Amino acid sequence: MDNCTKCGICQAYCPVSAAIEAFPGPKYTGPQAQRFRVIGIEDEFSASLCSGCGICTSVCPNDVAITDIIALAKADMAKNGRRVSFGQRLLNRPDTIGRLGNIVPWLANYLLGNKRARLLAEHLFGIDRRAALPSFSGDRFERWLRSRRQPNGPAIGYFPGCAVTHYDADTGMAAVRVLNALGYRVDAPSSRCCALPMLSSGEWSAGRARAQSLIGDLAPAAAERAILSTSTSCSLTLKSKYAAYFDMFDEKSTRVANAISDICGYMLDRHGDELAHRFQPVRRRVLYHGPCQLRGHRLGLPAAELLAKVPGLELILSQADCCGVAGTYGYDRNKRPIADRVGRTLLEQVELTKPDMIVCDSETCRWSIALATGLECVHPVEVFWAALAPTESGRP
Amino acid sequence: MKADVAIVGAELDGLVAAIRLAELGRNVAVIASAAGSLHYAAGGIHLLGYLRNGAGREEVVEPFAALARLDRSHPYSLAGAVRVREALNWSARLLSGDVGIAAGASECNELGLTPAGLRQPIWLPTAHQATIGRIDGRKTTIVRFDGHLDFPADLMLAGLKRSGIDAACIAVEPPGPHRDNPGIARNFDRMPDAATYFATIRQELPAGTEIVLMPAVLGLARHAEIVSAAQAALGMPIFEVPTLPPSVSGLRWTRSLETLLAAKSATIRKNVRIVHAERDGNRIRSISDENGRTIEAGAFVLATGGVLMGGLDVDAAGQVSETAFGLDVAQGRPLVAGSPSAILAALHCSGIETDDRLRPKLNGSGAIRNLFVTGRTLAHWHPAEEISAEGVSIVTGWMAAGCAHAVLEG
Repeated sequence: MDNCTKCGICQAYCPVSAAIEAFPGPKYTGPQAQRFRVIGIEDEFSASLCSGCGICTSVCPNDVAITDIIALAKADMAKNGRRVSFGQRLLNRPDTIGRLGNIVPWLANYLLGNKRARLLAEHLFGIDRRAALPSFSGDRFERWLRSRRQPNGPAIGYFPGCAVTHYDADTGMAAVRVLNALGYRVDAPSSRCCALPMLSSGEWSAGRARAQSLIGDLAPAAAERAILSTSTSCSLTLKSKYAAYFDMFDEKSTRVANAISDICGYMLDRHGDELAHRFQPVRRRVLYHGPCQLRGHRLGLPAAELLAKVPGLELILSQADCCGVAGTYGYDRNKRPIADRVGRTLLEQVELTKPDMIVCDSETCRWSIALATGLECVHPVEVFWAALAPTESGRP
Repeated sequence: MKADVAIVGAELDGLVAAIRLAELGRNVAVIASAAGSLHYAAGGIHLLGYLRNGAGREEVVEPFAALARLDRSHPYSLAGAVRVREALNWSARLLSGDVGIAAGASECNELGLTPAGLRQPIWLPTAHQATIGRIDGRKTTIVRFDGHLDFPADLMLAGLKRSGIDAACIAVEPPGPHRDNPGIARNFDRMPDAATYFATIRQELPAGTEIVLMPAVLGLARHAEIVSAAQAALGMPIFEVPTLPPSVSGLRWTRSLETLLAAKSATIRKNVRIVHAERDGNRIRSISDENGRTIEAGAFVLATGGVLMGGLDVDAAGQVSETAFGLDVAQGRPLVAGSPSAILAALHCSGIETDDRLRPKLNGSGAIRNLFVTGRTLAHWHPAEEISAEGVSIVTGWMAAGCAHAVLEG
């Protein structure tokens, strides 16, 4: 906080303060208000408007961890979870929802698609009825992975997270297929939730317990091999947020933090040349949106660097810093109008550039972008798989 | 990753080097840990505004003629007068588009303004930037926005009056709900009908106003369009005056340079901090970031923005260090004793000492042959005292590109 020179660069890039005047911006809500919070003056609630996208931290020339300062303030305001609404609590447990929904996926999907059920959910839980909810996929990914014949190459871990486990099996399957094509044998050491939604809304006591059990699951695998993730926000949580928010600096947590990698970053660094050589043409006009959470990885845009190697692919880079959803932020009925305004930049670019499809690393962004644009929106690994095996894969 | 040239830092010097190298057909990668110091720039190119003279400084009227009076270790002296001109001619073309810097070089400085309304020499102002020459002798009205956080209008008014300008100030509603520089600029961009907005302002101008000055927030992507709409609606010239940071002029400039670079298929990695260089004798073979990812290249440019942007660090004992590669730092005076301005001068003049091809010296013996240091990370110049930030950045960035290109040619 003391490194802040109040230069205001963070203000220039904050998508929430650009969208609404009510949010005074990261400089104020972060380091400036923190100076008062540390002396006990706390009647200031702007932190709750922050979406936690992390862009402020990524542009700060003085290494101020602005997002983390705001997240900690948010947790204090929420009194470690006691003041978190029931709807947000529900959103904070994507794996519980996933398990419930996947008992009878067709019924759950019917309810999610039903306008009256969504209206009811908005009234009861505050979950905005227009927010993009994914459909339940049953345990399709786990079953598929168990029965898949894999190469006998080096072992590598894959962390599917709630998204792939419960909703988005296609991304997980494409990830495994691409890794198999590179010779790896893939296993999934845990399908638990990383607890990020709890962290973002300040529900910390429950979040810490989950973090610890997930670390227990992943630590043995992390001792032997890299663990890759297709979810930029889950991997960022495992990589740096447990340490930053829960002071989890123990040996196991550190081992997991070191083992976890964004799948595109890992493939670019280790197999960039090989992939460039093997990629077959994919004749699509693709807009790539690097999700805000990817910035926290400090990798640049590895998926964009890989997509640039796919022959025939017309690549347009998103000019938007954030699609607005920022995890579960855009699901909250009260935050939805803000999220919509943040998302406007991306939608305007889509209208202007008219891509055939959109590629984005983060699941909640994909769901929301697909709903808003009506375009197909996939994880980069699906494009890589199409480029590696154009005949075998029907998609994209 | 492999590239012909890896450029560390997205400062003006790094972007200039990258664009020139890409134009020379080189495959470049720019790796930047955060936003660059263009976000603090007032707009236009400051070449050389002052020379140190005894305990004080004297104003420079003819910057090219004054180059000969700089110390031999100054970056302009390393470049030499011929290259300084060549670099600036090259860059004027580059900056004439969105940034609105008028092409065509002048031998003389004009007088621009600081955000506090003080006069400050500037070599090339942008087309819509206020200078004393553009407003002198005419009745001037500053139009400020109600509640604007980043613009001290009272200081600007007092400064103009001190300069003998017949000035007044009025406040108007901003173009949208925001009260900060980038917010106001974006609201101008989104405004469907700027002409009506400025027509309303015209009603409120004091009688006899001949020139309007507004804080430099008149649009980001649609700047030129908005200024011409304003001029038409007001029926008189309108110029921008600098604000406190973050500078919208700097944002426009950054956008324009990054767009140029992206169009040349350069790889840009943002939020990536370089922390190590792997050396092979007196050559750098590869560099690596905090995640341990390496970048191999034939040549490297270090454009990390000095103390201001974290390219140099100062510890509690006043010791200056270079943060990316741990290069030797030339540090004249200790940073702990003396007046604030003396400490600041010592701080600014600390940095990496190089030969006349911008190659850093290596433990006193020879130089690293494929690394070129630019901009604020260089020793022996004082951007704040000399008012020379953009000039030195452009000249050293341009030069580094030429040197890196030559190294790759063998």
